[in-house]
Amino acid sequence: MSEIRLTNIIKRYEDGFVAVKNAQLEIHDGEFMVLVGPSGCGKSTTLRMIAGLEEVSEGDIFVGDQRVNDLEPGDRDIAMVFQNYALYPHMTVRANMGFGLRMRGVDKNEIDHRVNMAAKILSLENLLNRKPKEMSGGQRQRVAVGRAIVRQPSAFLFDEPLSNLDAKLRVQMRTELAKLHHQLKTTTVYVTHDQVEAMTLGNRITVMNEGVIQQVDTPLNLYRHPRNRFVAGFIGSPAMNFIRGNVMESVFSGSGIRLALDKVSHQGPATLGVRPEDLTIAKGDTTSIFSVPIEVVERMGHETVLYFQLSGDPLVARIEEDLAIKAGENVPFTIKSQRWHLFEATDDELRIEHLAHPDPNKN
Amino acid sequence: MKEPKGITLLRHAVLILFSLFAIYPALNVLSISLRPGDRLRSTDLSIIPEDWSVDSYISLFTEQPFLTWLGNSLLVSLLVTIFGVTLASIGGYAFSRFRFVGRGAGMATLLTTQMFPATMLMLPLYVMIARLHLVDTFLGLMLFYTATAMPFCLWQMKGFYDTIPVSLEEAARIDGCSRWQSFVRVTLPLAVPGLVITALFSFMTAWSEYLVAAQVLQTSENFTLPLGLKSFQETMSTQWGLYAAGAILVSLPVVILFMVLSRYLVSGMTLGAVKE
Repeated sequence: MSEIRLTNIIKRYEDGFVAVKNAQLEIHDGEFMVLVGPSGCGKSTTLRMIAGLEEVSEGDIFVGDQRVNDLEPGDRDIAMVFQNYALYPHMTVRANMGFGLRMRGVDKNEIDHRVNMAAKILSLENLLNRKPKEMSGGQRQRVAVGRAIVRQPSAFLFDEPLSNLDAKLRVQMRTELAKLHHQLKTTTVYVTHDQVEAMTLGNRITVMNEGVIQQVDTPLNLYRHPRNRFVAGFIGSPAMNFIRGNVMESVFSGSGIRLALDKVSHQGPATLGVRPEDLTIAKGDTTSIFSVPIEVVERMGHETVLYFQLSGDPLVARIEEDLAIKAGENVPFTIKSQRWHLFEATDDELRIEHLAHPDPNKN
Repeated sequence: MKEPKGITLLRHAVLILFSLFAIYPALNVLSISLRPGDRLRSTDLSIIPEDWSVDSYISLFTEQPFLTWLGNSLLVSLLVTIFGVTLASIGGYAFSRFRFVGRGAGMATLLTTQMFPATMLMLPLYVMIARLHLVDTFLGLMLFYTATAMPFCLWQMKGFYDTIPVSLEEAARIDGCSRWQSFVRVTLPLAVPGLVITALFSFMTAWSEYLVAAQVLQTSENFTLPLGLKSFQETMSTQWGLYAAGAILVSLPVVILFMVLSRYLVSGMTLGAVKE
């Protein structure tokens, strides 16, 4: 086991396209790090550079104390699970899982022993003599994971391993991967575009966009203290609502609403961010901030999701009860006390600090 | 949905008609080879004549240098096959996996060479082979065959490698293979159907070729089977019985090859490797 360190990593393709821009990342020993972001954000490229399948244009990658930039993928002591499983179709499950050990000249008894162990962990014992084509998607995915764990590498790399499974199997494999990591405690880098996977699996999450690392933090810190508007919008489902407007003397106004913000020194244009669960229906003596007709109502039983528009901005509210609201009905909303974020109206769209909502990572 | 009977009948009638077109010449040759003497234009319609004999076949092996020609043909064809498959399996891989200067132009040029009729290449090739002092040698013939079969073989193998997911090789490299090992241990075994087709094509190119062989080979001991067969056709008379018997024997190995290899020709070898 060991830590993985990326220092000033740049990936530039021959056509000049820069896929990863100056990435700095430290993945601790035994940590489960998730790289998440929309497609094309550079997360897979970053993973493939760690694996050695993609050359690094600039910067260094360390696994443990060793700089691995110039090492062959097979010499980096890492194992990878591919999105499409990439099982060797002409080999049995046993041969697939033992292949990496055979290539390293490990003793045959030792290979058998390790393959059997891994098969037991992954409940593959009865499938060892099958070929990949005789198995279901979930079983193949398990074999791919098995092939990684028999190697007992310094680190596991996962490239969207669950995205080819159906929804039910995905949830099941997700918990199995979490259990597996708990059991083996091997440093893991896991790429996904699914923020639910990221939130549930990661010890920490790296959010990337357009080749740039936006924020590296624990799942809950990302959720509660997003560094900028991109992270705020990417983490959380349904996504955070954004309302453009202006702040004047601690009062936000825009899209026809006015909200008194305490303790904000910012003046001028800004974007207000409110998570769907922080929008509530104004009842009794609470004053509503705005009142709008509902366009779509989704009743899930344990919660109700309301879709509506505020001066043209599409907004979502999630109410934690089963409400008998009908589409077209006018509903007064308010924002839970201090449960809002404010973002600069600049290109970076950084979150503006406010005293009621301090960043726990600072001081 | 069930198809109307009339359509089924029509479909079968058409298929049977075309099958007859395909089979009749071969049956006719078989029939001639079994007739005693050189009765080419017999009006007898039976495939196996009443007075059938295998004299022509026996004569091929006893009185004619058929075995020598067979040996020559086998030698040339097998070596061309080995050359062709070896070069195409490596070259096709490069065309499929690597991006290099001249890749597109190279592929296009290879395709263009296929558009010239072989007869047009005859003279320049003969001159080249003469300058290399390879006239009347197998090496000269093999060079020509390998060169003419190569473009098709390369395209064939390139196309086949394209269907094998790159991630399999990447997995192999992470499992500790070098690029070459990942090719030999993972990609090549999966490319067997492609290799078989390429091998068959190379073999056939050399096995049944007449025109080039007629230019390059000059002495009777060096003849390949098509040349040998042609030599039965003399200025004044043709030994049709021998000719037909030889033709049947020449086509047998190819038929057998196809039958043996047909199971490899079934695609779907890579099924289950990756999820599409």
